[in-house]
Amino acid sequence: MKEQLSALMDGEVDLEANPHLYTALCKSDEACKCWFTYHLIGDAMRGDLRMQTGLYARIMRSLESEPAVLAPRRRLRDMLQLPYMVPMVASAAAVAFVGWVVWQSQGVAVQPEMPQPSIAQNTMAPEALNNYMLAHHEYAPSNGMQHAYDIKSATYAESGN
Amino acid sequence: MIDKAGQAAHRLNYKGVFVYQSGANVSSMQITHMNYGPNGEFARVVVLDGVPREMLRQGNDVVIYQPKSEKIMVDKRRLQSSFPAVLPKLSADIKANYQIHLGGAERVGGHEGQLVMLEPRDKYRYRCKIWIDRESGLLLKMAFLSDKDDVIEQVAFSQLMLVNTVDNDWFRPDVTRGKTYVMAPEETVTPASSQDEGWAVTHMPPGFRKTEQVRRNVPGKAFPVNHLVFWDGFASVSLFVEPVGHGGVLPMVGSFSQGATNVLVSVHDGHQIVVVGEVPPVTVTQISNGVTFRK
Repeated sequence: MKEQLSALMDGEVDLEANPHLYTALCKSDEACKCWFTYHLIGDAMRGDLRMQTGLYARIMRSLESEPAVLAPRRRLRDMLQLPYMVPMVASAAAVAFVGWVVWQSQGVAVQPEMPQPSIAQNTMAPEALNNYMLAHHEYAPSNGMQHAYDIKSATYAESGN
Repeated sequence: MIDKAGQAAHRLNYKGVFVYQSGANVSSMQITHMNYGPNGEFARVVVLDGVPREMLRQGNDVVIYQPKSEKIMVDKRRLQSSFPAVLPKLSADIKANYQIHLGGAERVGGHEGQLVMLEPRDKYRYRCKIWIDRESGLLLKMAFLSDKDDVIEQVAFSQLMLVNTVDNDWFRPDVTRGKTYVMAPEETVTPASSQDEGWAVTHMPPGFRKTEQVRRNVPGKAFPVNHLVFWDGFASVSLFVEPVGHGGVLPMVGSFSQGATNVLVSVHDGHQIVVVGEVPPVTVTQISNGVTFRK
């Protein structure tokens, strides 16, 4: 069953042609939860949740009639086999990102200044600014800089008191 | 004690609530962070005030869930670091641009904190204070200050507990049943070089150097957006340059400020220039004005 579920998740099995899989998904709490968690996290990270929306919505609807259960332990960890990589970089941008998370869905008012004579003014969609902010946080500071500021067991006191 | 501080936020397992404040805007967030060793680092941040939003992080992969109309937008991004994993490393850059002092002990969120101050050597960056937990090395609080010593933006733990590793069934979003989950359109990013561009950046504020130059293909835009990142060892600024007048979308010009982040949007020679960074308005303005186009 798990192999079949896995194949289904990977798109190797056509659900329409295998209705028993759908039935099993809806009947088994574990399979259902497993599917649900897999999609929300794993697939979201891989970026293909969109492709599964129809199927996903059906699963979600069927979930509504099921009692809530805890996700199987260790399941997610086994499923998400991404490499361990935590670069030791940091910056003020990381704090600003917290601000962005708070701010970005509240809308934004931009104060127009210095009108440009040649181009008509327009209201910038808040989302447009959002994208710039997000892109900024995504790239600052950059991966490419890592070699330049690796930790060398320094202390903050050395240039201070 | 401080040596381990930079790594503590990644290495340790902790749960807590932190408060983000910028101007009149105050918001609480709940964080759970676990490091499963070879299986990686996981974090979940839930915004407790206002519209429910949350962020799941695995290593550098971040997925943000936020309601939009009747749907939930799922935005997948790469992110270098997020609070409390924000302590600066002592690079030559940071020493050149900031003077670093040890302050006294102050209690933050029930923990004994060691105050460290970053004093900028010029007007192009903000002052910053950080408080590090003397016991665990975790960052407890961080504040950006104006030259008049007013707090512009701060983030601080109000509650923090170090915990033992637990199974990661906590690592999933709080899903609203019956809602539709939609992936936000993804941007593709390709490296770019400074050659062959019709423009150049001149008169950069001192201490900032370019760390990145990429081309972003943004869904819905006919032309790629050039994205350059400048960094002073601590604070960073992004410059976006893109042609306007194609595709019928008229640009707007203006400035925006949120906490320590300043944004300036302007138009020069048929290009829209957007500068975004956690730096004072003077820095953002100088970078924006420094973009020159070859005739």
